[in-house]
Amino acid sequence: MSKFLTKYIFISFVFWAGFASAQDEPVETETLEKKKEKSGPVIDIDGIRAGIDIFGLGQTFLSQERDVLEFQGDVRLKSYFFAVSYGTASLDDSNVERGILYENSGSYFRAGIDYNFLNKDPDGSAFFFGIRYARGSVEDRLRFDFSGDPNWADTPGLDRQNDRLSTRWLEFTSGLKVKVYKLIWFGYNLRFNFALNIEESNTLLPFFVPGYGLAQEGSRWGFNYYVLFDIPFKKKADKPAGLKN
Amino acid sequence: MAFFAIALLASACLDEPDCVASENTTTIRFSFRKLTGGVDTISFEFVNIISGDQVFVTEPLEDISTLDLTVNPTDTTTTFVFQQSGQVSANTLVLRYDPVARLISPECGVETLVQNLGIIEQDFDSISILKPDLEEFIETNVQIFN
Repeated sequence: MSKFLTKYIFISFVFWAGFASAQDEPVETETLEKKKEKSGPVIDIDGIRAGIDIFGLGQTFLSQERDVLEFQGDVRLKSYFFAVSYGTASLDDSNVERGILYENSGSYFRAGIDYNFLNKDPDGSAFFFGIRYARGSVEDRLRFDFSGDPNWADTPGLDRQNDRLSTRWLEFTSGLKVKVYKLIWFGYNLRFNFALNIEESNTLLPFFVPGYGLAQEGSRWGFNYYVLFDIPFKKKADKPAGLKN
Repeated sequence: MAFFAIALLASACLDEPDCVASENTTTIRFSFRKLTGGVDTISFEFVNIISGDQVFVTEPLEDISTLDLTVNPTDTTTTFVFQQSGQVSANTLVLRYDPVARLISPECGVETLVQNLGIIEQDFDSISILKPDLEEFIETNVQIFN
């Protein structure tokens, strides 16, 4: 399976790289750039951004059952972003009236590449498509009494838990990043999560996978809204005289 | 801001699963067959289902060829004692299994999937497990030959 994923990510990367090169400058400009690249650094980093998912924070503040904290960072490499994110999530989905106590927690990490279709935007705004490979872990515990069961109401009930199951999945992402003030950016990611794989458990199937969502769904949509802080690596060229900000 | 609030509410809806549970995943179906071939019809004075401290006794069962019984979803073994009508001694069957629990949702409840049925002990003439995983749509799991 891991060989398949590696191959899948590699093919996706090659696809995006090919697509991007087809969208680039005319041939003459490319030649000039190639000459520049020969004498310059191999990896030309424009800057990095780091921030926090305020959508997750919103869920944390609005819901008593759920805590989500996610950080995101990206490195700009011309038309590409190398993006990573790390998050933690916990969930308390209990229903005491029905005799259900369920707790779930875990962390996750995503890494991938985005291609920016607005690479000529003077502010550096981005509309992007990309792919992510995500890995994480989940711990959960389910306690349930069979008081409503016609046959087994007098049994001690279930008490099952998973100490730490590894999880992994893939995502297609799309979104926008827009500069709102100096070095502050807002951006959202729409994520299509699929190919979920959870380490096998013989006692309890996880209900929720941190970073992914409901475990019983083979694919699902996700959403993040970030506030990001820009750390530019290059000084922007001075604007020609006569132009105002 | 309004978009953000709507998106937050929508995300809550995304995490509401459908209340689709397998209703009969702890029900095991026994089929009775003759050793010489063909369906066997048997009458039982009672069948005991024993697990832990719990004992259930069925009503008398007349001329049946299949029988649906439940296994204890909180334990890994259940014992069945079959007392045939007109027989002096009863037949005992002890089954083991892996009960895997799954929360469907706090509102919908918990589902227990019983998998990997196996025989620990039995004293029938012959017995075979046809389907080791109990499923919603019940088919014969255990075939008993007399």
